Order: sequence, then structure tokens, then C-alpha cells
Amino acid sequence: MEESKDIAILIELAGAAIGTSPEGAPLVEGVDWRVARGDFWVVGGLHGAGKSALLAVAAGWLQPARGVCRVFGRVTEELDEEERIVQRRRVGVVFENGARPFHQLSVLENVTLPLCYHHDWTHEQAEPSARELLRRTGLESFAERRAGDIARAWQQRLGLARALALEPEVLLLDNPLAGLDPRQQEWWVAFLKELSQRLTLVVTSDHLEPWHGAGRQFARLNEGHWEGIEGAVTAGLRPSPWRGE
Amino acid sequence: MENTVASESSPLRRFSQWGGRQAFVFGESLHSLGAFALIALGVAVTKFRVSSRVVHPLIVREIHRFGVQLLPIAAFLGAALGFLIIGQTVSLLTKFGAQGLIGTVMVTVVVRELGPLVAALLVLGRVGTAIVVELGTARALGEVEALEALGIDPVHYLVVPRLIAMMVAVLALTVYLILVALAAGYLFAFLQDVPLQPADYFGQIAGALHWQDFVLLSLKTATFGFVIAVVVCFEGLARPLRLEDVPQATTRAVVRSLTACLLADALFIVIYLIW
Repeated sequence: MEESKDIAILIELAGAAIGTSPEGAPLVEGVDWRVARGDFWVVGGLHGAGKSALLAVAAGWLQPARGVCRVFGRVTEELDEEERIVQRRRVGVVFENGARPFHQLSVLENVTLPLCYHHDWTHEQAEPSARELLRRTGLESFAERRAGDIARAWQQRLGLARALALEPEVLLLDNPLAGLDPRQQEWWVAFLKELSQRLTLVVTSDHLEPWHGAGRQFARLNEGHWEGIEGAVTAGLRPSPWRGE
Repeated sequence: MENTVASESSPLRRFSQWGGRQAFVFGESLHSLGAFALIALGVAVTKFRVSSRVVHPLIVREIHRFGVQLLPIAAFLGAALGFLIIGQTVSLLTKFGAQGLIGTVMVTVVVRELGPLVAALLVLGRVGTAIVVELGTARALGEVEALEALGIDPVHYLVVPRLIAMMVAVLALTVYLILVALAAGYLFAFLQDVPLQPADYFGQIAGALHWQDFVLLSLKTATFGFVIAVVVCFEGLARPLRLEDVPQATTRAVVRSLTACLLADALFIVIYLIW
């Protein structure tokens, strides 16, 4: 796994069918997608279009119903348990709707946990890095509070700080703007735009407009199909990520 | 046609269908629990030194929670057991002039049977249910997936500390409970004016104890702790849960743990008889 750090294509889906609808059919078919190092992808789609399933496949947790998924050049289906764990450390994930913090732990402990677990550090050893991440994400004042007690908007930021703790090579964010007020949305777009200078990002979103000027590659999941939006940055974005609405 | 309908709905047929379904569910549950137990054991052994600065303090914390914090209630139950059962038995044996059997009866009833079982039930009631709620809620809120996303093995982080702590706690609580029960039993007998000296009472109990009792007591209590930990962690963690499923999972965990403990107890009775 280590020698694959130099590869340019981090995630690759070829002819992939993703997710399962209530009727048992795939949610999205024919996904041919390559995430190269340094990309900032924004993938739009309606609720239930398969955005979360797409990220789960890209993270290597879910296997595509058809087609192939390669992460860091390795077919995810062929990885053993140890290789999966190594891969998960290299792919950061921020979940939707509050980012699933560890509710019983403090905000600080949420960030120190992955560091302590993977580096076998004490809490004190992990604390400086964790506090720095909390400072960058504006969570410093919440450090000692229980993660379950802070507002969902801050929990979402906590999910971001936690995902960044292990210094992943690619960060997948599932609908990070969902349920946030305009000021919070503005912070997220600005933060991720700055972060994209040194980290590969994939963001899913209900709307593509907020990402105009931040994202560099755009696509949408439209009625079960993957559609790359060519020249989105220069030509401007459509008012909504789907057609015929 | 009428005959067919009648035979299909006959009580015997319905009962046999119900019995078949129950047997299938039981077999399936046993298979899943067995697989989960083996995974947990495998992870506990192979990853014992992995992330020790995170997992080992968790083990200590859980031992404190499952064992030390339950000491007062264990002492109370031990005293109640001593007063209600042992005191009565000692008093009765003395009345019939069978004081010579006191040691054997105490060892058989308290050390081999009631002590481990009461300690296991105490831990199940006070801690086992809480574990199902904790893990079930974590599962329902997606925290388990979040752990996996960070490359943290949920069995290593959530199950192994509870498993080891539960085994240690049931063993330790059993020892305390037995000691308190035996002392309280003598106190009750003393208050009843039973003519029995403390040296005779404890001497008889010591004489009735064999080295096998210590080995089997340790094995039995560790087994109870293991069984309870596996069942409650399995019910809370191993299947996708919604928040509204957690109370049902808790009830199921209590019933299954109780059944598993009684089955293990029956197995140990057979071992005692053979040994």
C-alpha cells in the first residue's frame, strides 16, 4: 500500500452501478469517474439520488453492484481487512447531518481518539494537534464540552476536524451544507476552498451553486445516471444540479 | 377441502410450526452469537498490544464501572443471601444435629451455585442492560460506522474492554459476595443462639473446599462474564438498529444472557459431578 502514495489517480470507478433503490435496482448506473490528486470534485443530486452511496463506494466501504472501484490503485473488493484499515486512514470522511460525532466523548476527545488509536499516543501527546484542528475549525471554545451537547452545525465542523486528524490524502464530504444557515455555508465553502490547495476533495451537495468558484470539477447524479459537467467553472453553473425540474 | 383446512389450522400443526420456527430462530441466534464470540476472542488475543494506550485504560475504567462500583450492592446481596438462606440452613442443620454437614452444604450451595449466579445476575441487571443501551444508541446514531471510517475496529474499541472487564468483574464480585454471605450467615446463626463456634463454622467450610472448587469457580464466573458480555454486545452492536429498537434489544439481551448463564451453569454442574 505504501508505494502507491505517488499515484496520480486516487479513486477510479469504471462502469459502476451504485446503491440499491427500494425496488432493488441500482440508484446510479454507468459511473465512470476518476478523482486525481489535487482535484476538488462537487457532485450534485437530489435527495435519494445516490450521493451517499457514491461516497461509500469511493471510500471503499460499499462494493459497486457492477463495475470496478479502485482506491489508490487497488480494487477495493480484493483488499483484506488489514489493507482496508490502512486505506481508511488515507481516506477521510465527513458524514451528513451532524457528521456522527461520538456523543459521549468531549469535542477534544473526538479528535484525539483517532490519533491516540493509530499512533498509540496518550491523550496528552495527541492534544496539541487536536487543539490546533479545533482552532482551525472554530471549535476551540467547545473543546471540553460533550460532543452530544453542541449544536448540529458545530458537530458538522467537529466531523471535519476529526476526519482531518489523520491527515488523509483525500477527503470525502457528504452534503456538508445540508441544514446549515447561510453564514455557516459560507464558512464551509471558504474553508474547503482553502483546504483544496493541499488536499484532494470530493463534496456531494443538493445544490451546486454555493460551490461556484470553489469546486474545480463538477458532476451530477441525474435520474440514475452520472453526468459530468464539462467546463462548469468557465461556463457557469445551471441554477440547479438536475434537469427538467 | 374442509378436512385440509381443518388439519392446517389444527392446534397440533400450529404448535409444531411454532416449535419449528422457534428451533430455527434459536439455531440461527446460536450460530450468530458463536461467530461474534469467536471474532471478539480473536480480536482480544491478536490485538491485545495494539493501541494499548487507548484500550487498556478503557479496560481499567470498565472494571471500575462493572466491579468496584457494584461492590456496595454486591455486599448487600451477599448479606441478604447470608441472612435468608445460610442462616436458616445452619440453624436447621444444627436443630437436627447435622452440624457436620454445614461445610459441605455451604460450599455446594453458596460457593458453587448461588454466589456465581447471583453475582452474574447482578452484573447483568446493573451493567449488561446499560451496555446494550450504550452500544445500541451508538449504532443507531451511526457512531459505529464513524469508528470504521477512521480505521478503528469497533470490536477492538467497544467490545474487547467490556468483555475482559466483565469477566474480571463477575469473578471479583463473586468472591466478595461469597465472603459476605458466609459471614452474614454465621452472624444470623449466632443471633439465633445456634451453638456453633466461628472456628468450627469456617473450619468446616475450609475443609469442604477442594482445589477444584477454586479452579471451577474461576472458570465458571469468567464464563458467566464472557457469556453476558458477548450477548449484550452482540445485541447492541452486531445488527443495524434504530433508536426505537434499543429497548427491545435490551429485553432480548437480558433473556438470552439469563438463558445462556443457566445453560452454562448446568454444564458446570455436570463437570462438578464428573470431577
